[in-house]
Amino acid sequence: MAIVICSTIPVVYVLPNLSEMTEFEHFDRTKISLEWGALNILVGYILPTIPIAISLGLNSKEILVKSGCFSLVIINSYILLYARTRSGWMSIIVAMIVFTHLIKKRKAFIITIVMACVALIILVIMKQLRS
Amino acid sequence: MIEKRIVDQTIENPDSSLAKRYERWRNAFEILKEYPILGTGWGVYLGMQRDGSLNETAWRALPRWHNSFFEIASQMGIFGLLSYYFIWYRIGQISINSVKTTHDYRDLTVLSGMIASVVAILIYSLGEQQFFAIETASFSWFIVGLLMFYINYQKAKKEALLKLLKVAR
Repeated sequence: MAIVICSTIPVVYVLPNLSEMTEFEHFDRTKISLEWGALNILVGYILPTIPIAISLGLNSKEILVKSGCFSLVIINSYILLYARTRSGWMSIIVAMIVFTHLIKKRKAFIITIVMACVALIILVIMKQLRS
Repeated sequence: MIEKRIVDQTIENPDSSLAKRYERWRNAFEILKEYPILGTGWGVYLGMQRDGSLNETAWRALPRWHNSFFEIASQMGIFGLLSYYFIWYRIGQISINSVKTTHDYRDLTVLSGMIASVVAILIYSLGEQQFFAIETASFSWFIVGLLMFYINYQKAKKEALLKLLKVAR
C-alpha cells in the first residue's frame, strides 16, 4: 500500500505544479515539463529507495515495507517542498543520510554518502565547464 | 534546462532565485538589527522595508523572507528566535533519546523515517518559510506532531509491557 501511495502521489501532485516551479526564470514551460517532472520524481522518489533496497537485498520481503515506509514519509515531505530543485534535493539527501544512519544499515549509509558525493562532483564539473 | 537551472543559480546572477533570496535575507537581517528585542510584530513584514518604513505595496516585491529563522527573527526579535530554537532543541533531544532507547527494529525504522522527514522539512525551511507559508505550514507541523505522537505511543507501549511483566511475576 505504501508503495502504491508513494508512486501515485508524486505523479498526481508534482506534475500539475510544474508551472509554478518555472515561474522565476521564465522558462518555456511546455518544453521543460516532462524533463523536469521526470527528474524530480527520480531524485525525490526512486533514488532515495536505492540505498535501502541494496542494503536489504533485492529478494527481501522487508524491502517493500522499509523502503516504502521511508519513501512514504520522505515523499510526503518532498511533496510539501513543492518538489523544487536545490534546496529540496539537498534536504532529501540530508534526510537520506540521517535515515540510513538511524536504521543502522552501514551499507546503505555508505551508498548514500557516495551518491551525495557523486552529485556534488557532477555539479562542480558542470560549473567548471560553464565557466 | 536542468544544467541552466542548477549551474546558473549563483548569488552573482541577479536573475537567479538564490540572488533574490540573498537580498531578502539581507533585508530581514537589517530589520532584525533595527528591531532586535521584540521584532516588528507578526505579519508586519508584509509592508516593512529595510529602512523601517511601511509600504502598502511592498508585499508584492518582498512577499517572504524565504527562511523560517529569519522570518521569526525579524518579526519576533531575539526572544522569539530563542524560543523557536528551544522548540527545535526539544524536538531533537526527544527524538534522539527515543532512538537510543528503541530496541524494536520495526519501531526504529518508522521512527527513523519520521525523523528523516522532519529533518528534510527543517533543512528546506532554510530556503523557504516552510513552517509559516499557508500552503505548507499545516502539513509540516502535522509531520512534526506525528513524530511526537509516535514517540509517546512507543513510550506508552513500553510502559504497558513493563506493567504486564510485573503482573505476570
